[in-house]
This record gives sequence, C-alpha cells and structure tokens, in this order.
Amino acid sequence: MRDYLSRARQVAGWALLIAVLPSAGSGQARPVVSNQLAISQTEAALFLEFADGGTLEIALRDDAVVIDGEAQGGFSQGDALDTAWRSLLGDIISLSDGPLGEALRSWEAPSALQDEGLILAQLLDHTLEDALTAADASVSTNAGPALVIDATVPDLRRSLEALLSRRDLLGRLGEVLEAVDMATSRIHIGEDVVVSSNESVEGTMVVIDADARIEGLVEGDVVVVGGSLEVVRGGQVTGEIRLVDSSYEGVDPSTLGGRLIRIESDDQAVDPSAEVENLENLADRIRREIRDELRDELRTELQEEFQDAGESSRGYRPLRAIGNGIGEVVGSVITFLLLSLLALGAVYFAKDNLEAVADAAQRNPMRAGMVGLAGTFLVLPTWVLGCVALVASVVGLIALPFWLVLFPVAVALGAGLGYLAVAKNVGEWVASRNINGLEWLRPTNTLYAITAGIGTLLAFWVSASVLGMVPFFGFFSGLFVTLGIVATVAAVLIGFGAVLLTRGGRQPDFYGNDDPFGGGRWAPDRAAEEFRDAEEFSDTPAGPGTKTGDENDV
Amino acid sequence: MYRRLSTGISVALVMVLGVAVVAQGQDRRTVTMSRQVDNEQNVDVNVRYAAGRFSIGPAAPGVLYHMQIEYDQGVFEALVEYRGSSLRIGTRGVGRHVRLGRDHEVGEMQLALSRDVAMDLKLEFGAVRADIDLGGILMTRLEIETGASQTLIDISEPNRESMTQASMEVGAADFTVRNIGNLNTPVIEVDAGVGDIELGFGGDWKQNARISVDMGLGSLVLRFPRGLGVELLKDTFLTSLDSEGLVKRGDGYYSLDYEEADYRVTVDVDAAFGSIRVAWLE
Repeated sequence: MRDYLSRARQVAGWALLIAVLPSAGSGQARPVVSNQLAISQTEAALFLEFADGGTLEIALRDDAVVIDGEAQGGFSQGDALDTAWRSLLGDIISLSDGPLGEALRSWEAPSALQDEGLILAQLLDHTLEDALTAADASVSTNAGPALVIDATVPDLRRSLEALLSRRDLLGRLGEVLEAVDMATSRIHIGEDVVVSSNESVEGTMVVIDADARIEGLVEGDVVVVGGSLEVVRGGQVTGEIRLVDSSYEGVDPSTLGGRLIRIESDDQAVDPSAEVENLENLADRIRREIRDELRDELRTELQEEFQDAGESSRGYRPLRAIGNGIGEVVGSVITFLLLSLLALGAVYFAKDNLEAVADAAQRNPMRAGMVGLAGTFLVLPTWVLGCVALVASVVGLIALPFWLVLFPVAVALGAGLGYLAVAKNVGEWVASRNINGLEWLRPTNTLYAITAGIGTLLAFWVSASVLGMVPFFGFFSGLFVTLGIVATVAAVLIGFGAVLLTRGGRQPDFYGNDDPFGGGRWAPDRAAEEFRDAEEFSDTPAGPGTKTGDENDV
Repeated sequence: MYRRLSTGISVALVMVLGVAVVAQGQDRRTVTMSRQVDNEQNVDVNVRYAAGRFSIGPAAPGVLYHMQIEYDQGVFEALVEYRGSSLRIGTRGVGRHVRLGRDHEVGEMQLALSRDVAMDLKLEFGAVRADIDLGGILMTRLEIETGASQTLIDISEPNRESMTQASMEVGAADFTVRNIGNLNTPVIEVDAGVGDIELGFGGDWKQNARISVDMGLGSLVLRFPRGLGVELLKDTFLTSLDSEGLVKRGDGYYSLDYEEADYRVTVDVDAAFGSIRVAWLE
C-alpha cells in the first residue's frame, strides 16, 4: 500500500510537470555515438551514449519503468505500454546515429494508453525528446544549471527542462509538493538563496540542490530538497518548512509560524539499532571463523604427526623411492628383453606379415587406430557370441574349448604383432633422425628397427621410474607415466587395427580395394611416386623445363 | 607434440562435456548495440564467444561496430566494454546454472566491424560454429583461438593494412581458411590440436610469407593457387603426405614454377598422426 501511494505520488508529480512542459522536439538533434538495446522476456531496455559524453538509459524491467537507474512507475508485461515500448525498440534495432535519433524523437505515446500508462508513456516520450535534443541541459549529469523558475512567468520551458533533468529529485518533489500551493512559487535549482533581513518573499519557495538562508520574511512555505536551510534570528517563515534529505540549523523551528516536516529517502535512512546488530553479527562471525581456522590447523598438524610416525615405522622414504625406482627400471628392461624376444620370433616366422602390418599402420595411422579401437570394443562381444553360437549349434560344442582358448590367444597375438609393427615404424623413424650415439641403428634391419622402437616406447616408463627416484620430481614422473600409457595404447590400437585391416598381414594392399574411407584419395599415384623417388636421387632442382609425373601422364 | 595432443584431447573432452550443458526453459535475451566511428585510429578488438553460432562481416560506413547477440541469460551474460580504443565484446559464462535437457537452442552472435578503422583483432571461441568474413576489414594483427568449433574464415577482400603477424590456435575443430593471401602478412602461425584443417592460399598476394603449421592429430589440406611459389617443409611422425604437383628437392617440396613466381610462400608443417594433402585451386 505504501509503495502504491509512493508511486501514485511520483506519477502525480510527473503529471504536473509534463502538463506544463512544452515539447522540445523542434530543437537541434543531439548526436548519438553508441546505442544498446536489450530485450528479453522481463526486460526491454535502451541505452544511449551521446557525443557530449552524456548517457540515457530507459528500461522496462521487472515490472518497473526505470530511467537512469531510478524507478518511475510500474507496468505489467504485455500491457499497452510494454507493447508500445517493445515495438519502438523493434523498429530501431537496425538503426544508428541520425536515423536512430530521429526515430526515437518522433515516437509518441500511443493514444490507446490510459491513466498511469499514458503518463509514463508521455514521460518516456518527453525524456527521449529532451535527451535527443541538443540543449545546455545535460540529461544524465547531476550538475544541473543554476536557474530560478518563476511560476508567474509564461515561458517556463527552459526552466522546467532543467528541472526535469534532475529526475532523481522529481520523485521526492511529487511527494513533498502535494499540499503545497504552487500557484505563486519560486523554484531555485542549484543556486544558494539568501532572503536578506530587509527582504520579504511572498509565496512558496522551493530550493533544490542548494542551501537557503532566511534572514528576512517568507510569507509562505519553504521546501528544501538536497540542501540545507538556515533561519537566523530575526528571520521568519509563516508557512510550513519541508526538508527533503536536507538539514536545518538556526532558531528553534517551533518559534516559527508553521510546522517543520522532515522527509528522508529510504536509501539514506539508517536504523541505529540495525547497525549495532550488524556489528554484533560481524563480531560473532569473526569469532567463529578464527575458532574454525584454529581447529583446522590443529587437525592438520595432528594428521601430519600421525603420518610422519607411520612413515618412520616403514623406513626412510627416499631410500624406498630409490628402491622402487630401480625395481621399475629393472622391470622395464625385462619387458624390453621379452618384447625383443617376441620380435625375434615374429621376424623369423612372420616377417612378411609384420612388414605388411607395419606398412598399413604407417600409411594411415588414423584409420588403423579407429579400426583398432572398434576392434577392441568388439573382441568381447565376438568371443561371447561365438561361444553362444557354438553351444546353440550342439555340433559346435566340440569346438567350444578351442574357441574359448584360441580366440583370446589370437587376439593377443594380433595385438602383439601390431605393437611390434608400430614399434618397427617408430624405430625406423628414430633411425632416420641421425641421433648421436645411435648411428649403429640401421633402419633396413627389421629386428634393429623393432628393438629401437620398443626401446623408444618404453623410454617413457624408464624416464618416469628414474624421475620417481628424484625428490620433488613426482609431477614429471607422473607426466611421463601418462605419456607412456598414451604411447602404448596408441601403438596397440594402431597396430591391432592394421592387423585387422591386412587380415593379419596376409592382405597388404588393402588400399587398392573399394575403400570407403577414400581409397582413391589415399592410394599413391604410382607414376608420381616413381617420379618423386627419382627426384630424391637427383641433385638437380626441378627447373621450368622439368617434367613432373603429372605432366608425363598428360 | 605430445603436449599439443594432450591439449587437443582436453579440448575434445571439454567439448563432449559442453554438449551436456544444454538449455531447458531458457531465458533468452537479445542485445543489439552499435557505435559510430569517432576519431579512432586503431582499435583493439577482443571478441569472446563461448557457444553458439557466430559470424563476422564488414559494417556499414561510419559504424565502428554493430553487434547483435542472442543468448540464454541463465548461462551467459553479454560482455561489452569500449574504453580508450579498446573493445571487448561477446559473452561469458555466469557460472550459476548447468541446465540439462534436450530442447537445446544455441545462441547466436553477429558482429559487423568497421572498414575504416585499423584493428588488432583477437577472436576467442569455445564450442562455436563460426562463419567469419574478414574481407575489407583493416587488420593490423589477427589472433584466433578456437576450442571445439567448426570455423570458416574467408578473407574475401584484400586487407589494405599490412599485418605483422596472424596466428590461429585451433583446439578440436573443423577449421577452414580461405584467401590467406588477402591477409597481407609475412608470418602466419597455425597451431592445431585435433581436427581437420584446410588452408586456402588464394587471394591477392603482395609479399612473401612463411606459414608454420603445428598439428597434433588430424588431416591438413593445403590449397594453393597456380602461379604462387610454394615451398613445403615437413617434420612429421606417422603422417602421410599427398604432395600432388610438388617436386621434392632436398628436404622440401617445391612447386614447379617456384623460382619464377612473383611471390613465394613457405609452409612448414610439424605434424603427428595424420595426413597432409596438397590440392590446387583452379
């Protein structure tokens, strides 16, 4: 109810001012340098920035009409005002500068609006026109011009424009001027007023954003907004004194003719008891935080004590780390030897298959990796389905034990062969790097290449083990473990995929068949390949007259 | 190399997780803003856009920038800041809501930039489908960072300013650039994690250039126009090369008219696990 009355008073104040405000639409346009429109279900906002640095924000947001951050009234989503405002924003969404300003200036409050909606729409209309019209008064600044408005003077336009520029005060003005006779009034904005001892003022005196000093006689009310009032000895005010966010000093107001009414804005009202309560809450919170922090600290220290006690009972940590590291390195060496042994067997018994798989892995590792990944996922279902099928066929029951054992063995052999094939590629790559100390590596020797590749792939693990022995290098050790896992998994997947693609190395030219992944794209042009090989052995660069493989084909 | 690979995988994970962050009962907000050209000589433009569709094009005469952005304000908030010839624009996550559901509507951002003011342009995308036309925009620097995006960049008209360097950092993406010659820069760096990269070297070449491509996992297609001198250098690991129209000489591959070409580009590729293919623009 109080909000409603407050809003009603605001609107009444606006209605009073809008009624006497002439249109500013005929003035010179004020350049807009930046505009921003925001539209959502609960908001339709316009923000303008002018060339002179001023700004204007008008928003219909959360059921409130807001101008430059201050609520001026209310609306309902989807009502006539909301619709009209959104329609305007929709019309200007693609405009800027001159056309934008013109469209905003020419907007008028829809005639279908009534009551508060009409008044607010007219307010928006006037605000836009004022803001977009070049004038001395800046819309957004609080430093308004010092003007004295005499209500008896017919030309009020400029004065009222200046008053409108202080929208932050107008809401309170509407409230405070309710019972004040404005027929004969003087309004002072931003200018200190002194009624001297030999002076007499008739009618209401309104002082906004300034100080008033009364030494003489005011025959009427005095209203001060955002300033101070001083009535010196000998000074007299026959009417009421209304102070809005203002201070009073001087003679005892009860000795004057009328009442003294103080009105404070909500944001300035401070409840001392609430402040004391806040301070007490703050002290409680600080006490609690300190207590909790001390408890946490004690708990952490105790835990560390217990941990240290446990560690010391199990031996000295660095020594244990070195022991673990050496053990891991030895494990890696044994793995290397075992894999090398497997490589020897593979080279001796299945060299052609191995090279075919290696070739497939090298030509298209992406595809091989994808096939390997898919194959890995299908291994278990295939094994289970095979078992089910053999059991269901009854006759196949004889083969079931073989299937149970031989299928996993075949998969393991395939993965192993694939890993060795990828290791061969890696070893050849290492050999081609001409690394100092590794000159003895010959890429043409398959076994050398494989063992070099195995060594390279295991190097991550060995590095991790060695770094694990060094204090404070745990992070790097973990990093190398991660790299080792990635390298091993990638090698196994790519190798396994290549094994599947080449049917275990028995079908090396799989690129030549109907390759859904773009066999034509990936198949090497034999003529071009031969030409490139020839170029590699030639020291003479290709000149303008050089024929390429493509040209030869033509 | 492995660092890039792990970066790419991380970005891919973010992408996968990001797919789960979809909106249900979204609170959509549309923001439109524009600014007139004042006396700006050079503007730093930093565009950040997390998720949705994104496009850039040239603005109307006299307009410094014009942006329209639509987003779910429960997940993102608009970011616009113009201060001292520095423009930051786009969206950023508000970190309050992670909404799950199927009715996902992606946001959209359309940005138009002035043709009259030189710009240092930095574009940062997350999970974005971007269609970028930089033709006619005056660029003194270009920096692009993408996460899990599908990005098409076309420099449809020559850049009238000379650019010191252009760099493109690609996470897990489908990334295509056309008319690189119109960038008017001697140095281009492309750092790609996982994805398909296509670089079109068309356009109006005004100087020689060196292009460094660092690729983790994926395919790289290089499209050269006839008449441009091409030198292709590669340091690769398990990467196939289809070097159609190039001849090998020493460690590099060269176009047939490399010696006679008015302008030459050197493409230095460092790649692991993938393929490189050379194609020619007709």
